[in-house]
Amino acid sequence: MSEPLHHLSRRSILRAGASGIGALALGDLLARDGLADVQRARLPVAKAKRVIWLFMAGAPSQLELFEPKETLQRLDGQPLPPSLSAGKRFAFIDGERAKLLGTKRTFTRHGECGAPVSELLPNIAGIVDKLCFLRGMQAKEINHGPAKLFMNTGSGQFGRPSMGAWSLYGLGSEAEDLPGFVVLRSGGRGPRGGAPLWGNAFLPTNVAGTPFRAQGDPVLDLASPEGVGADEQSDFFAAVGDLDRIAADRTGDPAFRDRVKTYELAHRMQTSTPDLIDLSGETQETRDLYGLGDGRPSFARNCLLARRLVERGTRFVQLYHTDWDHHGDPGNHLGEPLERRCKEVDRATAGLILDLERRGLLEDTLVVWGGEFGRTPLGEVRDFVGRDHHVSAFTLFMAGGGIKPGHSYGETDEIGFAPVQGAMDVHDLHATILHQLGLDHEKLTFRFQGRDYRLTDVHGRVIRDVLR
Amino acid sequence: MSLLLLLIGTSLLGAQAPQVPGEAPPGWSEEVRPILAEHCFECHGPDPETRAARLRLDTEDGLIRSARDGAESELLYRVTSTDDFDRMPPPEHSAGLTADEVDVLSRWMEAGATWEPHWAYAPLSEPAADAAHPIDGFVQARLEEEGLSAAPLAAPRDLIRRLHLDLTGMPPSPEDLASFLEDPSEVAYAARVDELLASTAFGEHWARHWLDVARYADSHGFTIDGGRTIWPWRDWVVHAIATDLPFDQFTMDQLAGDLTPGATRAQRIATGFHRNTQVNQEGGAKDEENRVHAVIDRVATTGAVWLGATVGCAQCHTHKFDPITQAEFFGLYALFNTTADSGVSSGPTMLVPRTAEEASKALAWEAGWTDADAAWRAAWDAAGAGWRVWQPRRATGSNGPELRAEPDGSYRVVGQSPIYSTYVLEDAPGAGPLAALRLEVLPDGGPGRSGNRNFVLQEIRVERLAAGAEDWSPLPLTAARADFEQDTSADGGHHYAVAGALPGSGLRGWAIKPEFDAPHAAEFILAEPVEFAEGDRLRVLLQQEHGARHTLGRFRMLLAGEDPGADRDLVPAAWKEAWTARRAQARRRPGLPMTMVMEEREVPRETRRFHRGSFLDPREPVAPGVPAALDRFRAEPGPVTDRLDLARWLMDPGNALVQRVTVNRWWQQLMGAGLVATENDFGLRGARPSHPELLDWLAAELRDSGYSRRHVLRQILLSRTYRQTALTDAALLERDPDNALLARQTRRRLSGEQLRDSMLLAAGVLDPKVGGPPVQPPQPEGVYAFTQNRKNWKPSEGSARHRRSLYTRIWRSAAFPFFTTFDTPAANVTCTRRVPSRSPLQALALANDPLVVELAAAFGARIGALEAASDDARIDAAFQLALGRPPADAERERLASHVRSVREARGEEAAWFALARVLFNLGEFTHRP
Repeated sequence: MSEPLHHLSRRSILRAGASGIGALALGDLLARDGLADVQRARLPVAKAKRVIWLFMAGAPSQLELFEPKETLQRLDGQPLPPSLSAGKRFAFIDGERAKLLGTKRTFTRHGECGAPVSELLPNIAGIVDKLCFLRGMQAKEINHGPAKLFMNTGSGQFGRPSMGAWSLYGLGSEAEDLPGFVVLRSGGRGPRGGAPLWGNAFLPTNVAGTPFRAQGDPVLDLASPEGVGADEQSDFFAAVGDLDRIAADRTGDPAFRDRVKTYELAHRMQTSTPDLIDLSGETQETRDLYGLGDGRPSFARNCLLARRLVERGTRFVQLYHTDWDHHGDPGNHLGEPLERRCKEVDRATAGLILDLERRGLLEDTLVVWGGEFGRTPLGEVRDFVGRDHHVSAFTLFMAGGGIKPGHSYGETDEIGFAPVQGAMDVHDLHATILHQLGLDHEKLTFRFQGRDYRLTDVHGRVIRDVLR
Repeated sequence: MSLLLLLIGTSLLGAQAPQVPGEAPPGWSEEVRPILAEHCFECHGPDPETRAARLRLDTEDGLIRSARDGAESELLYRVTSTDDFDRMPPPEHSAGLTADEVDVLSRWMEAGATWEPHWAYAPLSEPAADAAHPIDGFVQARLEEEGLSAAPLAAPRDLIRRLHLDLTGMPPSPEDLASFLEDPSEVAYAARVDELLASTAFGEHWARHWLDVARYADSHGFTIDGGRTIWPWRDWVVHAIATDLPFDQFTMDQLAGDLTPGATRAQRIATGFHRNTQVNQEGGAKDEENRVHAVIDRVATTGAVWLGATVGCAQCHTHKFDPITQAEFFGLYALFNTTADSGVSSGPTMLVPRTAEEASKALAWEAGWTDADAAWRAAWDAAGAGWRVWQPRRATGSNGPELRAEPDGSYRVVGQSPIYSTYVLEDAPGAGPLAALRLEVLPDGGPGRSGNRNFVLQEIRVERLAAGAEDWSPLPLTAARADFEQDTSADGGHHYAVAGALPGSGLRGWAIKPEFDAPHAAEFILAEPVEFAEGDRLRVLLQQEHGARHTLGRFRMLLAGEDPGADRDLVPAAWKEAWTARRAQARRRPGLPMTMVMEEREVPRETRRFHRGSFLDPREPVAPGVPAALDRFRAEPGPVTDRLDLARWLMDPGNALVQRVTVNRWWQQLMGAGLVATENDFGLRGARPSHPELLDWLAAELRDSGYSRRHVLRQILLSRTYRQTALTDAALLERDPDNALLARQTRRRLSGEQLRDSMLLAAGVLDPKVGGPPVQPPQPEGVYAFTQNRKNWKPSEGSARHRRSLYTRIWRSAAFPFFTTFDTPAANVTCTRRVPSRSPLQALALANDPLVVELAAAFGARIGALEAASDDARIDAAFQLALGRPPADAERERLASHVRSVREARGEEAAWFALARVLFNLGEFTHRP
């Protein structure tokens, strides 16, 4: 199991063997599915085996959470100095008339590394020595939908595979009874962009993210039909398998034997998935660590589910928590709504990282926390205090998975408008994460319509400064 | 590990093996060009920006220099050199050519290095067909080369099941099956083929493929994903296919039906094909950005569907592999950049009458609408007589709104609706005097954007930047007049006089409550006329800081060189009356469906090349046209300047590429894979046809039959190649896993739609009603909970639950989960082939989904009600209904044991439900034989 590609291949070989496809055809199959390319992309060392990506959909304000700026405080209410506005691109805001906005939040330096974190995230502040802050992150797309696509697929338009799909494609899954790429959602609504954010695009369908539901059964159709008990369900699966085996013998067609295997896994998922989501075995101490409350659907519950998924071999778990888009509308501003969002994620995020660490999982699990872009140092003229979208600079943090702990990479200018050093774009982030997973982002390719596609397209640098 | 490497290595070599070199020198298209395309064209191909060393290897001229010196050639030296510095491709680019590839190149050079155009772009080879059935002749010839023979014919039971599933999407009814088994002769088979090809069910099943191609959905997409009405287009497709509308007409109607002289309503409905692009209703979505995306998608879709070309690559740069330049991409773009639709709303739409009575109602209303609209426009123009419309391209609003230029010279303000905004209009108005400005505010889309449709124009400022000057100078305004001013001072409010909008007045500004349903005008007079020189710039700022979104929603600005004076009606009564009449006509619109259609824009747009594909960076103008490399053999040459020309060009008898791409897709539908495996890439990096002569013969049949789909399909269906069995053995599977040689048929999993329709049929509950608005079969609870605008999926009641799957409502943001599980594509971009997947989620859906459970219960009830003497007889009858054959003994015994155990636990009804459920889950049920 330590070499997941072996694992995948072995299963493929078994599957093919069971199907009566010979060795040559299997090789052909692998070549066609691109696995020959996957082999090329493997690096000798993989520091991380799995990823948990905590996606703060809507884009949290780095200036209220991680980036105190004295000059910005001093210039609060002033127009943007021309030296800073020249040639800048604005989302919706009128760059000539908008005023700079200092934060109302209090920052303190924490831990041995002294990273500043605001009062809004006390639990995350408590573990800064385990985190690596990327303060010079830059995005490209200024609207939520395209920006989320960009952060997930490296392209602002539909049609490219997601990072999770690429990872699964490159490494295979270690999960026997569960999907290898799972998406968990919480918050007021689903993330803008929907299924393409975790899609496989042109990669094989089995690497697509499986979106668990936010309530009830996390996978559809897991419950047996009403009235059908466990015995009947078992005999149902057995009967289908027996008749498919008869058909396989009669026709010589491998499709029938493949079905038998698939139905067996489906039947296992009917039992493995309820076990996954049954949190009753978790101690009160653990539940408190995450801030689980009554266990109803929440970001905290999803964090705990994420840990349970990676424990069971799931390669890539992505959590979306929505409603960080604090423009300054009623119910959607940098006051109480931001405080509420922070409360919803602060303890659970820290709890997840601590829980992974004490179980020895943090070492090879890469945790990523952040939104699709950042928020501007300018205030937005609306009913309440808010900030508009900002792509020139924002902050994201990572933990575990061979990333340097207690470290900050990148620095922005005196008002936090743009990086002055350590700029890192989304492609760089992708390249770095793939690198930690033991994949060369330039060699992890898939030929589609005559072109070799990559997650990082023609971009991307592995940022070695953040590696342990 | 080593085993795996060995396997991969072997297979990569093996992949080259099927080419039989024989004695003939390697062909340019077949063997040489693919090697160069793979290794060389990225840096030595069509794209000048990435071309290295000024060397081009994709054209005859470029290549000759390098290749015609035989063994001395530079090309051969470069690809074989062991010096890393000289070796091509460079070591950091790839591992280099294989020995086999080098061998092909050197033998090709020794034979004189002959060059020819890419096979897919060349004219049809017009192959002679002398076999009894030409298709079988071509297939047989290839099989003989390979030392293989065709499989036996499929058993009649399998054949007829296959035929029905392929043509109608459902297995045969018991009667249809029985009649064929009574007489399985070739004559009877041919008669059945003809019967099915003329059926509506055929139109429905084959329409589904075309819906994939067209990215059809019943919603707008993006975040909001509101509903849309375009199902009349879907019904048009069903009808067109069922009645064998020739493929050239099918194409022309969909791409340019509106431009056809004397266009019928049906032809206009057909233009919905390219209205299936997404519309972004998100607050703040940029109209132009989204419109540009839609146009780009139309170009890419047209390229993929008709040309089998990845023209989308050329959006940002000249294509790296295929001969399509970036300028040519924008030539295609220009053809589609002429339409009236927007990126953020659903218009234009058209009434869809369903009966003769409705048709005359629709006609009468449309005539009345055309008249009322023309009268409004005429009265509007008359009201502005003596003024000229000023609509600068630079028109912005602070805090987010977008000022969309309308063809009538006005601006419609869309997107973000901020509390305050200042609109800025600016350009060089040309030489001449400026004495006055006229601001017309319009009720359609306005006048204001506040809750009650009011606005407050707080201040208007007019400025000039003389050519060469550095600073703007204000042009003082001395007088203002308006046709109406809000005066609510008597009710404790204020007087919002137009004079208040003059700079420095200190008053509140101009507003119009309560006259929101009429046009209004305000005129502002300069202190003295100002003479503008050519190149002088004019800037007008409309400041609106009253708050609460009191901003203008629709307005037009006009200029005059001479003040026409106050002694006139600023808004003549005729103009107001025309507005009232137009609005009244709009309200009289008959309550018929309105389907989205394509229409030309009143004022043409100029197309410019977008540098690096970004619409924010337009460069030089581009004329409409088609890629030169694909336009070398046209029977009827001529300029291609609009969508109708484009459609005619695609359907020109000399356009062999389109014919090949089209028949290849139909072949794929019936045989599982195309003769060209990369059915959406006929370019230089695509696969070559497995049977080039067969492909060209089919293409010629299409052309010569008057583009009859029915004719071409009939040729395939009657062939022995189609009718052979899918039963096979391990040896053949190993030899030809993809069935490229066609020594058998292939068993394929049914689509989600076919699965559900087959269950409906077996359960005996199928409602065969054709067409109409989409319906909502049951689906698992909470499927839509994650979309931004939660979709209320109320399951349809009664027989509407049991309509064919084609009619299931499609929300882009949350597709019907049962279908998605079985690979129905998301309707975001064109899908020309569903790539079949296999996942445990499919097994879970078939086992447990409420949709299946409901139909299994219905089928179980049908089984329970059958007249049968015993369990075994009942099982036999049910098996026959589901699978079209009686069970073997072992199958019957296993099913009987399941039935018995369920009966013991839960009784009779449950037992037959359980039987039905197992049958629906069997591989034989879920696959086409």
